Amino acid sequence: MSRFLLSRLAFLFGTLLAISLLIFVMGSFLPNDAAQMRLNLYANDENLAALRAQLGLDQPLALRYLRWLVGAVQGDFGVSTSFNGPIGPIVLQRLQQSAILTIAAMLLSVPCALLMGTLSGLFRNRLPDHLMTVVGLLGISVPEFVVGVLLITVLADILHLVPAASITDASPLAEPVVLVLPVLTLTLLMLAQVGRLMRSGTVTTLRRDFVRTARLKGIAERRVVLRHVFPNAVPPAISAVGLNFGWMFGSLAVVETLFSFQGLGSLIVFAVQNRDIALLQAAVLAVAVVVCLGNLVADLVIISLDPRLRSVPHGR
Amino acid sequence: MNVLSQTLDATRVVQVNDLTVRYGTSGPMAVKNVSLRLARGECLAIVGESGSGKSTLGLALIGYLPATARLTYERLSIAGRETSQASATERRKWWGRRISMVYQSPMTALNPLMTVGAQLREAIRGSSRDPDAAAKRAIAIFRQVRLPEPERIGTRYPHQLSGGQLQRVVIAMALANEPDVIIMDEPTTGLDVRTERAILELIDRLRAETGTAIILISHNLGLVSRHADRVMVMLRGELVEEGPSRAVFGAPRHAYTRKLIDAIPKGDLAHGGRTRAPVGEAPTPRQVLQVSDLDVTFRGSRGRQVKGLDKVSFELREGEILALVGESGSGKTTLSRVLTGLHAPDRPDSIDIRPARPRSASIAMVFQDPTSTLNPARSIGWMLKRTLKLRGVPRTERDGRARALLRDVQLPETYLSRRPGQLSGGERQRVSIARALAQDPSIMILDEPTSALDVSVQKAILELMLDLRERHRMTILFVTHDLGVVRYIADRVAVMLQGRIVETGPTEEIFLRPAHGYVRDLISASSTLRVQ
Repeated sequence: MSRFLLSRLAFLFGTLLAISLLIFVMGSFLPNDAAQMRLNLYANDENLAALRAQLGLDQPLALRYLRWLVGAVQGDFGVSTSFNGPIGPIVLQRLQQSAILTIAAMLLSVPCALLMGTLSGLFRNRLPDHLMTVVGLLGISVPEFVVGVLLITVLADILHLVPAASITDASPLAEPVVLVLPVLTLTLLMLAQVGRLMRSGTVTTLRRDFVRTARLKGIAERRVVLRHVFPNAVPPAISAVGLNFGWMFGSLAVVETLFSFQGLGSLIVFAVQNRDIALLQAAVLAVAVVVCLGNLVADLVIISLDPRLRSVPHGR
Repeated sequence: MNVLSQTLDATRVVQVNDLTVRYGTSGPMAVKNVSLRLARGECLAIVGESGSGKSTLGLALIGYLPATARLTYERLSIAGRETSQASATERRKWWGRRISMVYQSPMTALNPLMTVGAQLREAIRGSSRDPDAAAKRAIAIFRQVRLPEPERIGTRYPHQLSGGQLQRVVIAMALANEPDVIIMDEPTTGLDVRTERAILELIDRLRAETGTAIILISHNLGLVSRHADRVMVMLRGELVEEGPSRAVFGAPRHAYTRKLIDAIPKGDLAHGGRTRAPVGEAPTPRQVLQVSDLDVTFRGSRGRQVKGLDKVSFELREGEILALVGESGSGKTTLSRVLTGLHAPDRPDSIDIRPARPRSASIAMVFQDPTSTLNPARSIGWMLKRTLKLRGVPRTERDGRARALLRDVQLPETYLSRRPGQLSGGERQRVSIARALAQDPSIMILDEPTSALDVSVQKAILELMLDLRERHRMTILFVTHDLGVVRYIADRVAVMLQGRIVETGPTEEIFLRPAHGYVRDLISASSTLRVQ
């Protein structure tokens, strides 16, 4: 188990290293480097060369990457040209905001998806299943900005239940109402895939022999579902939660912009618009770290559920 | 209901009159007008080949058929209670209390995520109200089914137990509330002979101790003849013969019963009356395979090394049938994987193959389950011709060769255009053999080629093997755990135990004078028919 954890962590660091390299190299190929952005209208060849030398931009790519990496590990991502300040604290603050949003969406969507998936698996081809299929198809086929606009129209413009924009100076926890619309939008996205996997897991598990054994033992159907069907049906759905978690973080750019929520996603959009390459690199790296950690957590949950994976595998 | 029939009912734990099961409203009848009665403590066997409706009958009795099944019966009572008047929820309460079930494959019958103890405890009535009493009772039942360390085995998960131990756990669950009747559907299929014997002895003993009646559903007539009081023989959903087991096996009345009994490979009918390959007589056939000191080591986790094969040595001579016998995990499959080149031996020079004919392939393989090894999307002709193409047979000759191959395995040439789904299990195995023959191999390895087939089909496949050996001088390595088959077909036997060959010699020699203790155990445990 601990051996497995170590190898997974090593794998995680390898992945992150590769991603960081990719992010850095791609960032350095964008037109307009940091010196150009900073000098803006005052840029001429002489000034640019001087500033590039000052910022170390005239050095080879590999060396710049190493210096950036050493800084990044210590939380130092350099200085943002658009904020005129160190990047680390900005990204950290936005990460917190986005984490609150995503975790709230997970807390709502995961239990809903597992419950709906299980119910539609148990009542296959009956009303709950058909309802779930419709919701699922909507979630998959309608893009998040359409869902978001619809929610704004109905809940904010017509019913006046929540504010249309989720701008807040304080933490969203102090003003939870701003979370409602973005959380609902993200939840709809998540329900579809996780719910479908939970449904198919339930349907296949119901056909397994041990479910017949459990029923013919004479135990109550509720117990058959809770103790025998659900634990065996849930692993694929949990993997999907892990993947969706990353995907959710990826789609934050759209959702946060839509609701003017000050998170990591809107920060990435802002960095792109303002060609703030150092800021962009740091924000994207932060997203990558969260996505990788999310998948690791999903794997660990699956392992903790299955005694066959918990015990040390032995050679045949 | 008069007094007399009531007293009769008291000793009858199951009574069914004219039970018919059909799938859908117009579908075929899986069970036709079968009547059945079972007395307290009696063991009734239901035998028949796959598709005879024996399993459906068992599930109909316990009331667990799919929703598409339509049941009609004149009367169905379990433990003296009419089930026709019982509601669905009432009937559910009988599950595990009055009637319970033991299944064919214990590994899939248990929930892999729950400890075996938890699975047994939840079967015990009232376990949620009194967990301590249930835990004590669970230990007592584990002890009753002779599981090792009954106090502690409950904390283990199914994957940590052997097949035999798992079946004991399933039996323990069936016994939990001392039901009146237990239905056992092929309870030992998939277990090796020694484990099978132990499980059946356990069932006999529990029947004597608890007075539970048993319905034993099986296709293994040898097993049935030794353990059942009464036998019902089913054919295509109908009951064709019923009687005390000695009478049925000693003097079968129905032609189908006789056919089933004749189909069991018996030692005295070795080679179907044909002569065995000459052993030790001149001229000695040439050697086609020499295996010397073959080692295979698997690397486990943490650098642990596991010996898969340990100094295995044997030879094969042209036209010889060598049976490789041993229980699961003894290394039979590893050996055939190494010979076919699917797994590398520790030293490559330990295997020496000398082709029988120039340009012939060295080894062809026939697998246990023909259904999963034939591509369902392709025709039989396509499969055979592709193999011929890979062997370099010119395009113009392929069709004729494919037809000849079908004739070799005694299938009509019209089968060239058929797909595997249109063939029976026995026909599919013939196609697998034809495909192996198409490679023109020096040696054919058959891995349990008949264990997925019914007895009557099994015998025909064995006849085919003998025929191929006679006509093509085919050299055959036959992997099996069925000693009846071995005695019927093999010239020589090699017995494997824990990755080593513990005994080898001519078939008659091994059966008459087994030297190794394990081989003696194996032979005495093998299923031969008991008729008196």
